[in-house]
Amino acid sequence: MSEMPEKPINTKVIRELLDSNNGARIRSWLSICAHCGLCAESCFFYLAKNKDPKLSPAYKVKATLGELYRRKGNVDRAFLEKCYNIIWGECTTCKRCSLYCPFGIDIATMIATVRGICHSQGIVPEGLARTSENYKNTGNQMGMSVEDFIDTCSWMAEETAEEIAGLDIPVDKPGARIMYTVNAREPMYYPQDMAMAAKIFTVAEESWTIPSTGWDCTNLAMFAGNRALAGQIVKNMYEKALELGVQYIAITECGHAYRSALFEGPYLAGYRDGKPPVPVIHSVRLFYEYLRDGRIKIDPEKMITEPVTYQDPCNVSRNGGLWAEGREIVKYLAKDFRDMTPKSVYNHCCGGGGGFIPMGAEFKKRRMESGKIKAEQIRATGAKIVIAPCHNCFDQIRDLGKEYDLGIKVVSFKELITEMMIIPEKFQPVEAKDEDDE
Amino acid sequence: MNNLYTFLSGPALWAAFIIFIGGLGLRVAFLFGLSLERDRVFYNHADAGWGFRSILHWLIPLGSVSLREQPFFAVAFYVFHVCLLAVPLFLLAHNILWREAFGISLPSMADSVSDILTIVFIIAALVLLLRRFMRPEVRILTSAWDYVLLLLSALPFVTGFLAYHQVGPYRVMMIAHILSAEVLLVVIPFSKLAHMVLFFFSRAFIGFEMGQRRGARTW
Amino acid sequence: MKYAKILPVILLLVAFVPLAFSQDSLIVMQAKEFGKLERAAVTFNHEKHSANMECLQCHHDYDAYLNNRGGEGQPCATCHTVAGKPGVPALREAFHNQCKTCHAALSARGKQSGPLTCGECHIQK
Repeated sequence: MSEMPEKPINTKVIRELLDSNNGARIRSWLSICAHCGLCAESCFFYLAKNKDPKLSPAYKVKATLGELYRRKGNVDRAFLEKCYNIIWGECTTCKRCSLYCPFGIDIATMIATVRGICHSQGIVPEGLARTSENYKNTGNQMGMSVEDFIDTCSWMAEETAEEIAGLDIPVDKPGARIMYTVNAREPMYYPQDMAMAAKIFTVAEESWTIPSTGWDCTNLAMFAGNRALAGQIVKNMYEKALELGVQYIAITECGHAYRSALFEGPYLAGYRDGKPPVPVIHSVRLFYEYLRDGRIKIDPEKMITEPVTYQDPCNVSRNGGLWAEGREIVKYLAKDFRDMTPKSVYNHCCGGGGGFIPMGAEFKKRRMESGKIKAEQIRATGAKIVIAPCHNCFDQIRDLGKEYDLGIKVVSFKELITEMMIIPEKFQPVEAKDEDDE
Repeated sequence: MNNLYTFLSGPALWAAFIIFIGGLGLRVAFLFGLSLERDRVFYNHADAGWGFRSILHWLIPLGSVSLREQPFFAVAFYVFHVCLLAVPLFLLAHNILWREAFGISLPSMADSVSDILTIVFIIAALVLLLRRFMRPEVRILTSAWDYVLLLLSALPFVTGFLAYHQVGPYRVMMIAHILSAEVLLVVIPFSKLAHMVLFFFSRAFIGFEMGQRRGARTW
Repeated sequence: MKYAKILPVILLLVAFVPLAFSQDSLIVMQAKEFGKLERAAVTFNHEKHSANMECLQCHHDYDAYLNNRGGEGQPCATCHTVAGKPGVPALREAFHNQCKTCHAALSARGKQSGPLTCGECHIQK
């Protein structure tokens, strides 16, 4: 928890938040929950921790939002700290329980509401609070300056052009078809991720650009319960896309960024119709289209022969609708594909979502414990390679691999596609051609 | 005792029905009014096909993944709800009374069928009661009010069953039967039992919120 | 001759005896037209009812203008069929109308009355 000074709890603010959220949905959900307990079996926290009844989704809401309404917001710090543990430490807002609830109660939305209330009192995991400051100051979660970002882009473009002739990373190119937005950790720690994307776009002859602002599609403020800031983050992105006049905002292989840009963002930014002003497309969909349309061709010689499984990121599959596209891509890349059980819409969260990964060391132990279900799912497939088109899934599964000794390698689609795609003649660098001739 | 019976089966019953239907109507109207401003998400993504399929899959037995994973309880839930609606609606004696009072009635079942369904209902209610009591993940959610509502739902059936078989003091049983049913009707709009109407809205919402927006099935 | 005068009187009385006993005081209302009954058959106390009300009220015969021309003591099933006919209530409704409706009406006027609930007439043995 962030080391905020112990200022007294402002119950007036809590009451206002409770009141403004008290719409028809939350009223109905809280009042009609039949306390049937069917949601419990859907939750990986519950399953991983020996079916502790306190981890059932309905209990988590009852003990937090239900109690807040019952007490009309008159709660103390101790209560909110109890909530803190539940809403950040025992729920990744993966929305799986809503599928298993007879009434379809949206637990994740209610947990997010409590996150907003805790946030209003400065009770937020430190890892998330820190990113909020960065978003405010620089527009991205890592606090990277515009200059550094543009430098990184040109550095990567320079370096990668040695491998692919004519490669460029165009920044702020008006009228491009897609505006490619990334997770701030890519330019910061894994710039090769951006290079890979550039390779794919170049070979697919995509008309693309990277924006100099609004380029960080992540939205950890959304997970921190800071709705105003979360709205501002997506607005930056939308406005840049409108300014550049692009047809699509493309999202890197990141789950929650897609959830933010396409599904929650419009509401966070105050768009009453719930639609982003520019259509949003996820990398999984984009890559699928390139492969389907033959814009990218995979060298069959290079197809993976080791057993491969696919991690459905909650916010790409269940909450993004792209489970089929993900599997279609895998078909091009791997010969021995083994699905997890359950899968697609019903897949379990890896345990790293909902802000868990950036919440850092404070939550690491729980993250490893609750990840047991995912680790078992992966082990049961016998796969040696796990494809995870989401940064949080990627980190979590890599950690799980160590923790549970799974003997797996985690990869992204970008990585596999760039390794395996056929580089057409015209994109072959001159030096490479020479080497081939020898 | 005749006076009490006349009162309960006359004015009190009218009052109960008016509160029941009026209360549910008012609750839905209130929520509708609230939703226009605060729940745009409900209207922005509304889609009849996804909403209807979401409801349908939860109405048919084992139509949803959640219930398929717990088939024993799924059957208990299903039987409980079907009998809860079917027995009072299609009971011969009730229909005779409606015919006398309003000149119209529904088709009715033979008393022997109602009798079996009542027993089945009581068994299902007991299963739910035991489940509520014995499964930790259900018990932790359960308050005294949940037990009261379950017992209140079952009471008209138990008293009706005993009255039909004329076990115990008949008039007392009859009055208990009518009274408990009226209390149940009055309580429905103001409790979680309002799910008999609100289920359709909440289930449809998640159906199209996940379906229309993401193509994801919620059953 | 004295006996000769009394004899016709005695004969007359004797002749009326079967008539007086042709109605049981308790009748089990088990119209064969119903076949198997849903509920226990009602035991009807004819004596008690005939002592307190007009025969014609039950043994009615309405003309087209709903004037009760009075019946001749036929059982209900003579006219009322199980299925019912236009303008003639079905047999079960006829029974319920006669018994329950009357009991309810009397009860509403605060008079002594018979049972209103199902099981008080359809008593299980």
